[in-house]
Amino acid sequence: MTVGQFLPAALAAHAPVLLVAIPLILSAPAAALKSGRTAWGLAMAGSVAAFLFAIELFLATRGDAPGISYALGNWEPPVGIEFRVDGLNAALLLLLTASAVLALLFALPSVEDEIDKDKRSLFYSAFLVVFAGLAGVATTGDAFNLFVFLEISSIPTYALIAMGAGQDRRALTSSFNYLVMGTIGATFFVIGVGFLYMATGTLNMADLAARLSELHGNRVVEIGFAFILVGLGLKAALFPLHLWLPGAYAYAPSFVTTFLAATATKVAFYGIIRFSFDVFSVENGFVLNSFTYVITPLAIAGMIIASAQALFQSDVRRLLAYSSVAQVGYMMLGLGIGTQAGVAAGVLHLINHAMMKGALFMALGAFAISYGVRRIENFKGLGQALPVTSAAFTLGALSLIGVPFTVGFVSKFYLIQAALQKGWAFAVVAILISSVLAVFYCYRVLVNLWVAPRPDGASRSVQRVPYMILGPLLVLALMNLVFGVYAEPIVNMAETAAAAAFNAGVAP
Amino acid sequence: MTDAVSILNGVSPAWFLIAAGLLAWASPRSELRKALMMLGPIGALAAWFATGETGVYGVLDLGPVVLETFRLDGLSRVWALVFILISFINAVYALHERNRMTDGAALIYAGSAVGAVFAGDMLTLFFFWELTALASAPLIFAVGTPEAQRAGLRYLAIQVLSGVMLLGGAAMWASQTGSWAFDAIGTGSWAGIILMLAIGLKAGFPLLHMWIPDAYPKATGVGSVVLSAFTTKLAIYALARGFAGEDALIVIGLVMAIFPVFYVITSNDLRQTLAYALINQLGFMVVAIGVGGHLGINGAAANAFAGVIYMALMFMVLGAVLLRTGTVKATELGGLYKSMPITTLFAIIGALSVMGAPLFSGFVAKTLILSAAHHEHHDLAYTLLVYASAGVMEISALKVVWFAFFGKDRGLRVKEAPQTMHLGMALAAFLCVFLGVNYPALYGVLPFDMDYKPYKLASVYGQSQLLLGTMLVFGLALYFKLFPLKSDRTILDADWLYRRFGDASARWGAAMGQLLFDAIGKVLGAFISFVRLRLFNLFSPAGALSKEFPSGMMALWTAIMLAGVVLVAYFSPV
Amino acid sequence: MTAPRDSKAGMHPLARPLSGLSSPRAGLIALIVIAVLVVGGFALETVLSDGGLSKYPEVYGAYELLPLAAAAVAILLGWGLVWLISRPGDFYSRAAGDVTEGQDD
Repeated sequence: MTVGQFLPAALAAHAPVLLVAIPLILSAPAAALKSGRTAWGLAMAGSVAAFLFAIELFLATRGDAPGISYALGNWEPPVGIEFRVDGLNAALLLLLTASAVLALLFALPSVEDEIDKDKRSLFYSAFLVVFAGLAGVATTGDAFNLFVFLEISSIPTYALIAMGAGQDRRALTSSFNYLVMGTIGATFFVIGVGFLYMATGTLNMADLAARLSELHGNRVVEIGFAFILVGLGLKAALFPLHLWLPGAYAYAPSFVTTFLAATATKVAFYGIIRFSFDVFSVENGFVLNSFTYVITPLAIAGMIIASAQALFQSDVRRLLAYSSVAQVGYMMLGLGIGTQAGVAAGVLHLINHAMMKGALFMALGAFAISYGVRRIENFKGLGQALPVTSAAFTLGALSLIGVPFTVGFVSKFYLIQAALQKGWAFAVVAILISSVLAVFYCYRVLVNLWVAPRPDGASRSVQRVPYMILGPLLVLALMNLVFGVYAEPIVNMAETAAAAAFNAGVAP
Repeated sequence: MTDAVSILNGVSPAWFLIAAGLLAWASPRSELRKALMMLGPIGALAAWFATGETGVYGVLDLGPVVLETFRLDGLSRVWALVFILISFINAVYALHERNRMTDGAALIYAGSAVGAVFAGDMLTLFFFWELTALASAPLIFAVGTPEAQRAGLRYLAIQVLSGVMLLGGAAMWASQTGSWAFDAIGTGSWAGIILMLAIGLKAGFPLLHMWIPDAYPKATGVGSVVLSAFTTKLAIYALARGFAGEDALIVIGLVMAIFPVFYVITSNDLRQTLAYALINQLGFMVVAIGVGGHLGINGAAANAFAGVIYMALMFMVLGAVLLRTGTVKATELGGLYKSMPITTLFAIIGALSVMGAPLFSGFVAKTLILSAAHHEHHDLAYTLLVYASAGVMEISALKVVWFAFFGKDRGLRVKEAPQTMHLGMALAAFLCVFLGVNYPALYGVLPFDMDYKPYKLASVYGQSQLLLGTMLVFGLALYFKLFPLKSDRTILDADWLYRRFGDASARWGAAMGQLLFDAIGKVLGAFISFVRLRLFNLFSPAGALSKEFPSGMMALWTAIMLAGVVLVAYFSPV
Repeated sequence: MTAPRDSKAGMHPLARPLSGLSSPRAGLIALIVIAVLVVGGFALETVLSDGGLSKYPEVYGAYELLPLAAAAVAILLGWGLVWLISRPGDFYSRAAGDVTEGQDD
């Protein structure tokens, strides 16, 4: 194919489809297995393979390289299903697969701690399906196919969240909630796609884009856009459609939360970018107006209200979940700005948020395994008991606040710049307010972690944190620092992605 | 000898201090650490003297940016000199203390302050700016009490915030001008205003000052000495570099010079009294920078130089009192001159310098600012500064000396401070007198050459009248028991805004937001069920609006948002 | 209170000659001396002031006198300030956000 190819050509030529298919196929034997560890091995093999394909795709779409189009089963688009990879989703795929590999490392000890023995292989099987679904959403170039993958990823997600019931029965209600709402979101999305099909008679994104450009002022198209935006916005936990998220993140097994926080909402966010910029076009008045008058106010409201809600949570995972809603607000704000710099800042924050929340939730998982604590007051003095894990958590929290030399600072910086370029001083103010709130809620946790003395009664012995957790945790935490200082790679990645969304797109 | 020293030509003194600090952190033996604490400043001083020529040294070319780590010019060398001197004096003063954390931190703190002063570009400045924040926090943490831990965290958060703002402002500035150089900035742009606020946060601008009286009284006895010396004076340097002659600074400085008077009078913790007095002195310097011109900048520099030394002396005195009695509360002290006469002598020298008595360093420095304000026809500023020097400076100095060492004898019979502390205080006290009597030595190091005579009959006479008069007022207030001082009270200041109000309003806002959110949902829900919309009933199993089952609410929000997008799309231009 | 008046027990040797300084009479004497100096200074200035001792040309008259009144007013206003914004000493350590939850007031 092009530059930077490192897999054999025979494999590389089929990279887009193999990336999705291998995890999907592996999920069947994983479900049939008895041993959880072997299933884990399969999941790991699938994720690593996907990771390698993602690297291949990422390298192949660097620079000026055109997007890769892959016709499934040699049925040429627009009739057949097309997979498309360009700078935008290549970055997302890399993030997705890397998160999966790191999270899986963490999964082995965490799952053994939290999930019943006989359910583990099913658990990994479900994970593989989720993973394949998310990868499919990120790769496909077909609007209806995107809906299918969205459902493929969602349904096992409900099951995965419900598996947290072993720890806390509320996982069941949270899962049910998510099921209802997720289904609403998916329904909205597919209704939107239906409208588009009515108006254009095609489902292929590139083809859609070409035909939509001729349909100016068509109300059906506008309504289709509204449904798609709301459907994907729900999946992306856009405020106020985030109500499913806190419960789902708080009661799911630690591993699931870690993986979902790093990936699931991001994929939906990608879907919004893909549809808004490539299928529709920002040159359309209704897209830009929706960004300015719907997305931006909601993003800002989310940034501030969700941060304020995070302030008074007592369960740290709920706190971080609300913080996630606020962070989605940052990404949405980047989108709402609607310029290339804004989208780049949004994508940058997407990447960075995966790093910080990945580190934070993983550290929480480590605390849960070795100490079984979740509430803020139980964090008292953990800094002395588990210094390395606490340090990693602290790094993640500092990054969340946006302290310089962490990735959180980098993306907020770019976001503020994009807002200033657009002349939106109010957005800058909102970012600052939200950051100050972040200082407060992180402060509450960190003070308990490091400053408050150990309660006298807490003589409970502390288990050592397994290296399988410490390894990926430290990698994630240090990534916060390394890319905070040496931000060029991720900034490049985000800018290429934004450029791909704006310029090349899926239009042929 | 000259040859040995000339090797150091072009080596930034900051590195000596920082290296000594890192070694001190690494060394387990306290004797070694003490030696390092003395040798670091001596090496730095040698490097300061060795680099005779002004110019830019220590340039690091990092491709897109060029870092200038050692810019020696008239302005930077004054501040660097006094920082090095005070770190040496502190080393002597702290000889008795065995604390690995604070020994190293004080050195690195001093080194990063010197480094920041010598920074030729804003990135280097930012690096050292944050380093001062990080290195100084252990001086508060070292106390070990939970209260000090929290105060330390607050202090650290504000210092780091200042750095963040500095970097943000610098980035905006660089994107506008294309240069990271740290020179005159001015408030003509947003970048300039953000930079000024970032610096103002450290310089104790009104409403941004709260960390000073919050943190300084909670540091260790030795720690407050260095804390009082570096951070705020570094900010004054940065203001003088970037914002000389900004008229806004005159107003800001005047407010800083005057409002602390009430806190100086009412605060019970004497180190807090000094912290407020420090804000007042910073106000003088900020006014001087606002006045600008050679005389103004010289005045700010002279005040920073003298102020670092006499405030350090005052904090040293209280550090000694704290060491021996365990408290610095005005209502718990008194009559200490009987057991600590030598410390009392140093306290009196320090107080005379603070209040600006003729023949002491405060006088020769302060008259410069008064003359500058007068010379540039800022008559109102001039008059108010005279008021402030009587009200704030003198009352703070009198208050510390009176309540700690004289006043009501509480029967405290303690040992005199250790000899090493005396030595440190003696060095500072000597400088206070030396610079006051031999004022050309002070004027000689100032950024600009000038021919100025502080000891004119008129100003000496006027100043003496002022001092004696305020002393009389202070004495009368004490005599008639009119001095408002209560034990065990917290006097609120702007930090209330974030320690109570911000916290409470965040909680309140979040709770209200939740209520509002629920209420909107309920009202809409009631409305929709009123018109028997099936959609709602479909998504609303029993109790759908309750918190654990938000699906109904969510369906509602989804519908509302859909309606919103459709409306926006409908009214959009094609 | 606990210290016996004018007892030299426990005093530093250098301070012994000054032990009388803590008596109320010494304070009064010091006050009177200062008062005499202040009044004398102003009197001297008034006598000699036609050009001889005018300190700063633009700022005439009661320039040294007004700050004294201002200082007195400031000290008295301190009472109002204490009444208005002082709180119990443990005000902040009771504060909710300062420590942890569970201690809300």
